[in-house]
Formats: sequence, C-alpha cells, structure tokens
Amino acid sequence: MELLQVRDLSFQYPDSGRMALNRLNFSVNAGEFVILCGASGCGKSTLLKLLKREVAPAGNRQGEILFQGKPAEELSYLESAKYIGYVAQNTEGALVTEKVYSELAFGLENFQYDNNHIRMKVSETAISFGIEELFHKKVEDLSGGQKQLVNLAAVLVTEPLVLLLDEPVSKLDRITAEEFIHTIRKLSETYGITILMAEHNLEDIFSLADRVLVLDDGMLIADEKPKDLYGYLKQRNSGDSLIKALPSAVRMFADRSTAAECPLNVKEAVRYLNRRYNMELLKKLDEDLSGKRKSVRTDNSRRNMNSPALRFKNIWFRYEKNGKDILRGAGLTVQQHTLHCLLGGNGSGKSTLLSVIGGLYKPYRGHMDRQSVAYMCQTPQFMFLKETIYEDFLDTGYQNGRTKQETEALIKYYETRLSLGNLYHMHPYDLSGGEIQKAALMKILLSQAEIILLDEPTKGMDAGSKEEFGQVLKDLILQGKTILMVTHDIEFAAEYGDYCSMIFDGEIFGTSEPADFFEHNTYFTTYTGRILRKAAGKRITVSQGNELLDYYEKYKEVGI
Amino acid sequence: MYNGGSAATAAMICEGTDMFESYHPFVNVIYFTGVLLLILLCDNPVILVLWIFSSILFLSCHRKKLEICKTVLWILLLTCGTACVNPMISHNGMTILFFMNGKAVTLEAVIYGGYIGLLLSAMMLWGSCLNQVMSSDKFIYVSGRAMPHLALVISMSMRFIPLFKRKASEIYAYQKINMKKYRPSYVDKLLLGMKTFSIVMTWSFENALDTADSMKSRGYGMRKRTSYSVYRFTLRDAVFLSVFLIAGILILVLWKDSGMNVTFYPVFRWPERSIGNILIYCLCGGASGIPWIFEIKEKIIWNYYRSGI
Repeated sequence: MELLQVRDLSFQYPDSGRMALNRLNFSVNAGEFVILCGASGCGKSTLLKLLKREVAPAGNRQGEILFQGKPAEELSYLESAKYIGYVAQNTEGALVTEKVYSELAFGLENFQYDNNHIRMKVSETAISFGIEELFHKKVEDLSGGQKQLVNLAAVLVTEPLVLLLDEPVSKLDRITAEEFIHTIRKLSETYGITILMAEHNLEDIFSLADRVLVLDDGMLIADEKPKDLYGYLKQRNSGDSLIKALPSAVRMFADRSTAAECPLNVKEAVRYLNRRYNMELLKKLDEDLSGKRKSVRTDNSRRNMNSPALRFKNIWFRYEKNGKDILRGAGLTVQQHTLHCLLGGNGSGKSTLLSVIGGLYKPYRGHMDRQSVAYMCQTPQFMFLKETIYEDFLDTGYQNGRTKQETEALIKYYETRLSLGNLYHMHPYDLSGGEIQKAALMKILLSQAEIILLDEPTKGMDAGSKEEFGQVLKDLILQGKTILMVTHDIEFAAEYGDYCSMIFDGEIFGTSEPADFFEHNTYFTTYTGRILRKAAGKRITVSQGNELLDYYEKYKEVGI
Repeated sequence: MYNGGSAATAAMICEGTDMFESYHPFVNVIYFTGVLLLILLCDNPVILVLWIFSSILFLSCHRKKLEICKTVLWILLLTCGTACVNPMISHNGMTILFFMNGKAVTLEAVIYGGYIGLLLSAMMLWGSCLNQVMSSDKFIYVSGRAMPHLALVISMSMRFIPLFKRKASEIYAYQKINMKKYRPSYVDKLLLGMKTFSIVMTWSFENALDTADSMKSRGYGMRKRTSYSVYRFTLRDAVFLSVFLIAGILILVLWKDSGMNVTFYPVFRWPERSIGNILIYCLCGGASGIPWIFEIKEKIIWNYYRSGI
C-alpha cells in the first residue's frame, strides 16, 4: 500500500528565481526504507520539510502530497502531528526540555494523554532504544550520539506511521554513526517502520535500503533499487560527484560485476572478492605494483624532514586543579608543508589538544615550538560576525592591520582556489555546510598564519564538497601552509593526509603515512581497507583498490 | 552536593528509601511552607535555635564539613552584626548598658537584634534545605499542576541556559586563539566579550527557530497539554502529610494561649515553664527534625542491611 505519494511536487522559495524542487513524482510504501540522497543544497531538506506540514517552509508550492491516499492538507492537526514523525538535522535545537524523560514525554503531553499512558509509552520506548540509563539525565550532559538517540526516541514515542529523517548521522563521528544506523536498521527490520531518510554518506546504509531516490538540483533523477543505482547513474551519464557518494564496495566492484551480483557493503565485498579473485595472485600483484612506486614515494616523504612547523613534547594538561589529566604526555612533530591528520574517538582529548596548541590554555608540563597559528572551530558559523561574509573578510583584514586594498588583493589571491564568488554577499547562516567551511577557511587564510588548525572540518559535508575541500587543502600545502587537522573522517585522512597520528587517552602515537598507518588496523580503517585487508593492506582508498583490481584483470587477460 | 542537579541524582539514589527527598513534591512543598510559617509566627529564641540546629544537621548530611563550619561562622557573624546594629537604631528597653552620642544603648535592643539575626539565618538555612530537596524536576512538577505552560518554560530555560553557556565559551575560545595579540588588554577583552555575545545571540535565534519547528512537529500548540511526571502520591506521602499537618495545627492551637511568645521590650522575659509549653518545644523539635531524622534513620537501616549482606 502506498503510504505516502508525491505527485508533480514543485516548490520555490520566495524571492528566489530557482525552483528548489521541480516536478517530483514518487511514492513510499508501508514498511519500506527509502533513502533520499544527493549533494547538499539539492533540496533534500526542503522535500522532507514539505512532507511534514508543521515545519513546511513558506513559498510557492504546486502539486500534491497524498498520505494514505488522502491529500495531506485534509489531515487533522492531530493526525498530521502524530502520523508523520520528523527528526530534524539540528539535534541541539530539536531537544526542547531539560531532562531526557520530559523530552520523551513532550509529544505525548501535547496529545493530552494521561500520566499512566505516558508512563507506559515512555518506558516502552526507553527500553526498546536502550536509553533507560539516560532516563533521568539532563539532556545537556549527553554525548552527541545519545542526544540524537533521544531525539529519535522522542519522535517515535507517538508511534508515527512514517519517519522522516534529515541527515541524522552527518554530525556524528564514525563509530557513533554506525551505532545510530544500527538503531535505524532495527526500526526498519524489527519494527517495520516506514522510513524516508535523507543522507549523503551512503556507506553504511546503502545495503539496508529498499530504494534510493537521487535528487539533483531539485529534480528527481533516479528512483532505483540499490543494486541498480550504479548502472542507472552510469548510463544516464550523471556527474561524478553522485557516483562518488556511493559506497566503496559499489565503486570498486560495480564495473566488474553484473548488477545482481554487485556487492553493496563490506561483508558482500569480502565474499565477492574471495569467490572471484585468487587471493595469492592479488597479493603478489600488489607487491609488484607497490615495488614500482616505492622509489618515488620515499623520495616524496623525505622532502621536509628537518624543518618541523610545530613540535611539542610531553604535554600534560588538565582543566581543574584536582581534575583528570586530559593530555598525558602528548608529543607530536608536524613537518612543514604537510597535511597532518589526528584521528581518535570522542573524549580522546582532540579538541583540547587544539586549544592548547592554539595557546588558549597553558599545559602544566611540557614544551612546545610553533610558528603562527590560526584555528578553525567545529561550528564555522561562530567565526562570522557581520551581515555578509565579505564584510567579515574585510574586517579580518583590518584586524590584522591591512588596508582594504591589501585585503581585497589577498582575497583575490585565494579566490582561485576557494571559488566563493557568488557567496560573498550572503549571510553566514544561509550557506550550506561545504560553503561555510570554505568561507571559514578563507577567513583563516586572511590572517596569514603559517599553521592552520582544523577541528573536524569535513563534518556534514557531502562527497563532492569533501573532494573539493581536499583539493583546496592540497593547494594550500603547495603554497607553503602547514595543516594540522583533527578528524573522525578516516576516508578523508586516507585520501588527502600526508601523515596520520592516533590520539587516544591523552597520548599521541603511530605517526606515519596513511598507508602504513591503516595497514595494521582491522576496525579503525577505511572501507576499502576493510575489504582488501587480507590481500593488500596498504591499499586504503577506492582508487588504490581499483588500480590493483584493474591490474589483476589485465594480468589475467594477458596471462590467459 | 548543593545544586539542583546533584539533588536530583541523590533523589534517584534514594528512590524507594525513606529519605525526605524521596517524598512527593507536594509533601516537600507543604512541609517547607509550614516550616517557614512556623518560624515567622513563633517568637521564641529557643524554638528558633531548634529550627537552626535541625537545618544544620540536615545540611551536614549532604555537604562537606568545611562548608558547614563556614555556614555556622556566617550565622554567628550575622547574629553579632544585627545585635550591634539594632541598638543604634532602637533605643527602647529598660536595662541601659551605656550611652553613645547621648543615646541609650539597651540590653533588650541587643537581644532583639541578635534574635532578628537568628531569624534571618533560620530563613536562609531552610531556604538552602529547600534547594537541597527540591530539584528542578520537582519545581517543574509543582508549577505544572497549576500552569503546564509555565512548567514547560522553566524546563526549556533549564535546557537552554547551559547550552547557551557552552556555546558562548566555544566561541570565546575560538576568538581568543585567533586574536593576534599575545597579552590582550582590558579593552580587548571587553570587545572580545561583546563579539562573543553578539555571535551567540545570532546562533540562539537560529537555534530557537529549530526548537520551534521541533515542538510544532511533535504537536505543540494545537490544544492544551497535559504535564507528565515521574512522581506518585502514595500512602506513605499521605501518612507523612497528615502527621505533619496535625502537629502543625497542634502547635498553633497550643501556642495561642500559652504565653510562649517572648517579650523583648521593655524588659526581656522568658515564658513560664509549663507542661503545655514543654509539649510545644517537643513538637517543634520533632517537626523541624523530620528531614535529618529520616536521613540518619536511612543511614542506620542501610548499614544494618549491608552488614546483613
């Protein structure tokens, strides 16, 4: 049965010449798990909001939205609020009350249920989603993942018929995101809840979905089963960035298999690899290939060995006199003109370390040498004060003692790399995730510091923006900057990092090039790394994997 | 252990036990209202000292020794202070100690001043007992019975204030790291503070829009709402409440013709000793002691059970 039907839906924001959504037609059946993907700014959030009447944006809407065959406008307030559950992107903002239990009860209170009913529903939900432990806690004391879980539970408590999720894991770190996706999988598979989820990172959820809708610039360009999506996009000649968003397994094997056989996740990929490929031969070929490249690489890595931009040793730091040590003898050397990635879980002291390097806090023991530093915080919106970002750039220049002309020249100089052209006169809060990151980077560059500290810059970025951002960072390095980046994003570090280090329990270790760094990791590694671990541990990006597989196939052809 | 949060945790720990905190919020509120009324109505230094003594005993179950010592010192200072100040203002009383600037300084005025100091201390001490027992949840619950929307507003502010503070400190940290000057002057710091405030305000407005959406999408604002609570009024609460109310009424009735009210002017005079008066002392002592007696009782029972395990 079609639970939700969208017919010829178009939408235009007021004062905008562009159609945010253009003649969409699709339906969602009861019990289905449908993913809505596409680059940021393609209209995913707008679509989800239109489907939830209470939060629908103002503007010019055409077409129909049918809920259980009935136009959505004809639903009563009660039905609309109850049957369509909506989990917004901004977790912090979505949580309303002080305590977890009152947050869970919030929706039910609005529906005027009595205390006994609420008690039953709230406890049932808390048990099913494993948040009993948090029940009496303050929302403010929860971790990001727990907040998102409470947010989800607070919506589910009113038993919605369809659940709309707007990028629920984009702000979470990798491990927490995997846990959250596990919960979503449970919702779909164990409880049969109909889900429409907007997401641009498809790695973990792709194989769980029944269908994938792809939005591109307001148009629905694909409505396919996961197995068929790659072929469809290839045949349609869609942009590279849409393909880049697909899981590593698909990007590696889709061209080498039929659609029906194509592995969609790591498990299937490992099985496929073992079935179709001779592992011994793969290993041998990998050694051949790496041997050829080795001489070039060692040359490359020796380039700046003796001129560190930042060096610290044995740093100890705690926030309070009687508190716990956050940094416990941390030490690191960051070579000049490199992109150094610092990886680690939550609470490992990553952000504290950046604050100490930035000079906000003084370590109580240890030694540090550094060049001038600029710091980009996790929420780049916080860096802007003026009405438009261009005014803010000029102000930054002024703060650094430059004239308007000098600042403008500097902006022009970096402009070629960052391409902010049409964004200069927008308000910082109107930019998308990728755009605001670039704007923030520009602001940092205007201070002309030698070392740039980045705190989780790729959080919430889609595949296309990530690639663009990675290229920008590479360019900056060539220009003589040094970048130290704290991140959860293993894929990004593997692809663009010159060096990686692990930070755990207040210590830093394992500094080496990405291939060596991830080689021995079984869990904390890229998706490609997990697929190829048995055959070629040093191959950690999709392109490296594809290189090996191409070579293998060529060898086989010639060999036969 | 003296803010609302830890009170709530403590309440969780002692759930199912018989501590005063674990009683229904209405019982707590009625008790504290009764206590404040009795403190104000009964003019008697002995009873006042009883109240003070009990509240300190209760607080010492929850706070560090050093803090309790500080509190006691503070009460003494306040009492001495008012005892010194009152004679300067009031010159009533028969027993003249000495003259100052041609005005009589009387013993009665000193005593009355001290008494006022004790009264203020008692009020404040019971205020902090109230703070200890009444977590934000309980306040929200009590106000929610009468005005569900007010309860929601309180709860939302309790959520928002720490969030606002955290964001402000994040912004401040960023701004400070990126400031060029190594040792900022006061003016720099002031400007930095203003900048931070401005940014965090912008952020708050954006965030508030999302909160409003989240509330609307969960059905807020369509009609009146109920107010959920985790509290249940049980037999234990009813028994406690009736015993306390009977004791309170008994105190007031006995008090009426007992001559228990101390007179300060023109001459300080203790009330007579009679069986009725001794009964009042006992009742007041008992009523004031409820919180700490419950606390100690629980500790003893707990130790006994634990040794049994």
